Amino acid sequence: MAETITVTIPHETVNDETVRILSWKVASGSRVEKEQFICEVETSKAVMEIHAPDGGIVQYAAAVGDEVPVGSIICEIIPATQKEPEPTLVATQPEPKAPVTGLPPARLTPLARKVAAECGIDQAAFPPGTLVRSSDVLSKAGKLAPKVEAGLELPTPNQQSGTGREGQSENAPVAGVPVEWVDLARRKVLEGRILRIGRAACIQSSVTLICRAPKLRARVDKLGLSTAGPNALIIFEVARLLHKYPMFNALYDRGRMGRYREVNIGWAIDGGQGLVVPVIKHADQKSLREIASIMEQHVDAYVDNSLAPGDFLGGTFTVSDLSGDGVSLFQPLISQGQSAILGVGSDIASESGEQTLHLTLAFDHQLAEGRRAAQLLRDLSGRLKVHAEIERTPMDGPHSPESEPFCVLCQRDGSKLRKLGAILVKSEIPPGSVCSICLAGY
Amino acid sequence: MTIRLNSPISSVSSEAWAQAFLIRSFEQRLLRLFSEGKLFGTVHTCIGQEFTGIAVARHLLAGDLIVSNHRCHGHYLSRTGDVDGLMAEVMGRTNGICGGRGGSQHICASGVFSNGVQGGMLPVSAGMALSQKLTKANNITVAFIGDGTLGEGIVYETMNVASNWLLPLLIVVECNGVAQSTRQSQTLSGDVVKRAEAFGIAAYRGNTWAPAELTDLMKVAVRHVRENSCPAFVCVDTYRLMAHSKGDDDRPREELEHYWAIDPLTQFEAEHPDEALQLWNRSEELVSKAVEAASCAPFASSEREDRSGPTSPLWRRTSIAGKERVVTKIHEALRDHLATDNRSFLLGEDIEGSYGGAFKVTRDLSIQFPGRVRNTPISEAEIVGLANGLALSGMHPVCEIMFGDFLTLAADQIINHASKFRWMYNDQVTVPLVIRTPMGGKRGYGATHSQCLEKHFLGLPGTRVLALHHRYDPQALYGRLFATVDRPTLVIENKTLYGDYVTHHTVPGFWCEHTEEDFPTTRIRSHARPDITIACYGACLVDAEKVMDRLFEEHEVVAEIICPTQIYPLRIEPILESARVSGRLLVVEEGQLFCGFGAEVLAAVHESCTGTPLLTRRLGAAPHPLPSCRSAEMESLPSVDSIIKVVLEMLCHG
Ligand SMILES: Cc1ncc(C[n+]2csc(CCOP(=O)(O)OP(=O)(O)O)c2C)c(N)n1
Repeated sequence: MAETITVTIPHETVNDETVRILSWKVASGSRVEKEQFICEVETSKAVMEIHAPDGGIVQYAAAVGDEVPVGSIICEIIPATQKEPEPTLVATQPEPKAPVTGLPPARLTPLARKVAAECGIDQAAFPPGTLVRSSDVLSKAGKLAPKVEAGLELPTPNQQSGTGREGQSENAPVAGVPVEWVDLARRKVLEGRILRIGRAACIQSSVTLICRAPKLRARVDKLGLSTAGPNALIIFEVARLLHKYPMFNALYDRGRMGRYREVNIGWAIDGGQGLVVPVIKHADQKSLREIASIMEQHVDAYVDNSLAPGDFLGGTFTVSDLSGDGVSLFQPLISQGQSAILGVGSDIASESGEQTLHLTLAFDHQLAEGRRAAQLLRDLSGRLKVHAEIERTPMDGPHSPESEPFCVLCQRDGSKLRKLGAILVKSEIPPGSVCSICLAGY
Repeated sequence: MTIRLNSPISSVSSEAWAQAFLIRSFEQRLLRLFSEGKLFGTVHTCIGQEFTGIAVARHLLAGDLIVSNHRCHGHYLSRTGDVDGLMAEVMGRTNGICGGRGGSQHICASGVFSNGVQGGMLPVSAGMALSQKLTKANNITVAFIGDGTLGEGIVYETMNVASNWLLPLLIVVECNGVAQSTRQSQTLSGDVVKRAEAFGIAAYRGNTWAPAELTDLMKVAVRHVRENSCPAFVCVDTYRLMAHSKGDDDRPREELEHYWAIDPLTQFEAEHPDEALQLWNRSEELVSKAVEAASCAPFASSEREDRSGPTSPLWRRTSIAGKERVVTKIHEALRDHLATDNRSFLLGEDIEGSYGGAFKVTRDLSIQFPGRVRNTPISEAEIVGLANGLALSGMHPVCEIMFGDFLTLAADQIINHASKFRWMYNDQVTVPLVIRTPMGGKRGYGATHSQCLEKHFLGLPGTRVLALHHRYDPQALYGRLFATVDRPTLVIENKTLYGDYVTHHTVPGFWCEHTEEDFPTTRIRSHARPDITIACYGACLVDAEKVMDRLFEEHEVVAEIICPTQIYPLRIEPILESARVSGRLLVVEEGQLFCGFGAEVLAAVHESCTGTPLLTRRLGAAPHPLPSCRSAEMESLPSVDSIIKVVLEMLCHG
């Protein structure tokens, strides 16, 4: 016997609490085939397509424009043979049979009921069939700032945040001037929220270093990375350096530093269709070529507007490069749940087109100081120069390290590498030793 | 042609001599191959005992079955003459009768079945005889055991049922006076033949030193079984001339020499050297050819089960029409099974009549389906053994074990028989066997009537373990099981669940869904992102739902419950999917935790959840036997309060 299938927005694919139904591709009551494209929903990051998990008759449980909680049912698919649930059954049952045929009112906890009464909110204001806790009532009343707690150890209990504009206003127009309000794209709203939380949680400071790496561009071209550009090299190097400077791949919370156990680097793309920050997961374990090809995929997907919600999740550090726009210096903003962001600007100094990079590290002063940030930038700059050098002085004599040998690319020393099952190899280009992990990257 | 000989060798057909020489030649070759290091494992030869099998096999018809033990080569060869198939099997080759999987003592071909557990095949043979009786075939089953095996209780459980149910079963005891190294005088009391007679079974005694008389005696015994459709028992005195297996023999030399001297084959050789040489040469040639053919074939190999990769589950909203109790739903499923499948057969203790079992599940079914719902003696091993025999004969037996605690008495039949046959016999057979049993406490029945022992039966390859609950229709579940059963399936029914109503109406604000599978996983969820995932099965779902309700009402915590109906093999994805979202997983079970269900779940979750931070806990019974005292029993088992306490601890940590 075939049974009704429920179609939901799965929690694991979306980072939001709610999504908005953008359009239905089929009419309610019509027949669909398995895998058929049935609905388009907008998340804060992207537009998602919902496909039918199986064939049958579609019954909407939400309308276009509805904000539906993630996890709740957007529609049901009734097997074509068993057209309608038997009406007699529905009549005799104490609770409605399916959300489509009428949902029970929202269930409030006793505390939520009390809070609702105090705030003067009608219980009917909550969508039927949902669970409502006191925090949900408070955020509806605008008394609770949408709170997103980032914890390293575990996701915290659900904090439902208000969407819409029921909350208290965050700003006030100047007196006496008429205002025309324009709704911002959800993506922009969310971006703002993430940055606001990031800013609120951090004490932001920044350090800038000028890196003269002429011929870096040429080296990048030589490596066949022209599409991704020097950014690929910067991400590759900074991902490895973050092991040496874990305070920049971390977050601050209530007197503790949470170090991320992964290095996932978000990088900003803005090609005129809005700013997005897709994430390169485990960037510290990827080769330069892998990083470059992921970046190319991101750009392609950006152009066809097909970046998936999963592409934006899990970033632990961000790189924002405005050098292509002729910007030399800017103040990048730290994202929620992170402790640093690298901004890249540039100067075309000479007629020869030799490039000078302006590297700015904005960081959370609760976890580090300017000196540390400067050290990271110096290391980064040094490594970028090594890359540029490779082109210029191909046969420099082998570098003799004074202390224990270490990998000149990732800085890990012999004992660390042994733990990872990697070995050090004498290298002429770049001079010194290179570990098998970095070597594999070339 | 009949060869006339002086006493003690009288008239034995030349085919019988040919068989005897072939068997001896075969067994001697095995010992030689062992000594040359060309065989692996072990072998039990029947040198000296060849005529037991030969004397019986002559009287068997097509469709008659032979069930044997570790010393089975002679029985198989006298029935089939298949030297090639058996040699290849013992040599572990893919062209062996069981593809090299079974080896010397686990064979199955042409209606001959053997297994290496002493006495274990006896109830199986009775089940086969029962099937022959039920299908009114004019066939019989012959079971061979050694005299050492008379120490096994299952032998008498089988004689008891065979006689009471008048099963066409011939039990042949090969009485060689020794079991491995132990003399019969050390272990046997009373009289072997009188043991059978005490059960009202016709009993005979013969020996292999008078093969012609033995053949005649077997003719009488076989006819008795076939014509009267009832059991018979023959004790055959004989002597094993070689070691128990490969070289383990400490019997006195003089004794061995005496038996070699009176051995019928030795005597035949002395009296008919030319014929003997001819038979010997022919046998050697056949055996050599068999060894050669087997040597060319590839060895058997281990193959991992072809597991399709993890797929994300497809969830369907659960909708159960009407409102009936679990016990009624199971009853209806059994009634449907009896009504629609004429191969179905129910057996168990006290299941007949309006008594209908200790928990009334089979009430009146024996009246509606006369002869197909049978009360058994209090013999759990026998019940499952009979069912094994029925299943191997193509029947669809369903046994009830009155209390799950007593599955231990049937453990050998489940673990060493039911779960082994299919694979060990190279997929030539299936065992469509269903065992139902109520588990669990909270009834004050005390330490031996309240346990959840299923963990001891989880993880047997080739079997399945299901656990019913009240949020998925047990009638639908059983219906699908009966329609598709192709392997031994243990179904856990909880005593406390029998009276509960089967509906999809769960805690307000939550709804029930299940995966799209024959034996689905239930998920109880809300629209909100869960703070905790609770995994459980069976009756634990009842408490888990109460926990879910109170967590929301009193603590503003949203739980999600994942409750599989198939607990082995376990599909971990539904649990994993939820745990990844909530970040916290609590597994609740009613049994003991050590090496239990929860341990398996957490191992599987952690193995597939690398990188995702996940807080996990288990909750099960206190590590001591269950007390009968109500309050003490409740304290010993997971309760709504204790589960909530653990959940809140987990939430505080994270
Ligand atoms: C249940 C069980 N216990 C022990 C053994 C180990 N074992 C294998 S053969 C054997 C002796 C069997 O003696 P008997 O039944 O007289 O048969 P025989 O070997 O003499 O033919 C024993 C103890 C076994 N296979 N099964």
